Amino acid sequence: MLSLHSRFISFLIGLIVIFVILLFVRKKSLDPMYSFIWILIGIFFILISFFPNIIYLVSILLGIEFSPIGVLVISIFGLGSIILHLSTIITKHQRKIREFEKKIALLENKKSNK
Amino acid sequence: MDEKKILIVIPTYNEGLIIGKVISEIKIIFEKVDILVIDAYSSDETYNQVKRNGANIIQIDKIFGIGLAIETGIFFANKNDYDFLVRIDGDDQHSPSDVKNLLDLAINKKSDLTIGSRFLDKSEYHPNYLRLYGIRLLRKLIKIFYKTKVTDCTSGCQILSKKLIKELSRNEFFEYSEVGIICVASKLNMSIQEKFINMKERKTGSSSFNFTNSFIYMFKNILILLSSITINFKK
Repeated sequence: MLSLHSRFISFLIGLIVIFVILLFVRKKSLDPMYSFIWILIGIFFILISFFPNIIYLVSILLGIEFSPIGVLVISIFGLGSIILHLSTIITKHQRKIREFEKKIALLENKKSNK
Repeated sequence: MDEKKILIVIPTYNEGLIIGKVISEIKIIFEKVDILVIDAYSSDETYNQVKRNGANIIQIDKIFGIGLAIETGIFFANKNDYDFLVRIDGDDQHSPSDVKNLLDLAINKKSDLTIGSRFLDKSEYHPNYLRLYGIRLLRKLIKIFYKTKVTDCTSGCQILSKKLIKELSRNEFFEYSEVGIICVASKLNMSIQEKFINMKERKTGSSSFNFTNSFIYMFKNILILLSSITINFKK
């Protein structure tokens, strides 16, 4: 079982994450669409602080006896998928920028030939 | 035979010493032709040289690579309704009379993609071993997956027909690479022709290839090759 101390810390981390993300969204430095996943992570921390048994349950489901490893596995998987998602977004932006570069170059060419 | 509208696309980066000569030689051999130089914001005299020789120039940032440069050429050709797009290198490695022969072949045989191959005969081109074996591997892969026989799949001298230009500019996901275009053309059942072209030793400037990016280049090409297999083009 998690100690009361660590449950409190988990709760605090969850609150801070959500607070910071909302602050970022308000300052327009984070798109609301991308804030969603981070707020979910904050909620996850808070959930754990109230129901620490989730960790043991998930670890057992994964067939891991030593539950801290279960936490690690899940967080690595989660972070990995976020990074993959970001890579797809970067690719999309890159394609868009290429298109813009192409169009701007052609427009400039047209202008200078006039 | 009616007059064909032909666009010559030359990608350059810091070729100021030679580009003027290339353009004037082309103008002597081809009587009626439009030249479009696509420059990667060279830091030397390239821009002024091209302007002085009366050719059209477009500038595209270097980070997008040669792929975007050619794509811009394709886009330009499509917009202005050219019949053939001739892509050659800007370092005087292809001789214009060879290119002229290649273009005649493209017009006579009505081929959609015409490649100037450096391996059909003895040429002055000597790539490093990594590149040579890479090319051989790509050739094999193209033969296996696309059933197309191409001896030089990374040649910098390619001629595209109007049909192919139209098809490429319609597809928003198309990113140009020498290998990619062969894949697309054979996927669309277009005719591909090859003819020997000599490639002279480079005299000025520096090639965009060195040992490490040869690796990246090959890796990228193999990925493009394998990923284009399943792509379906809308009819």
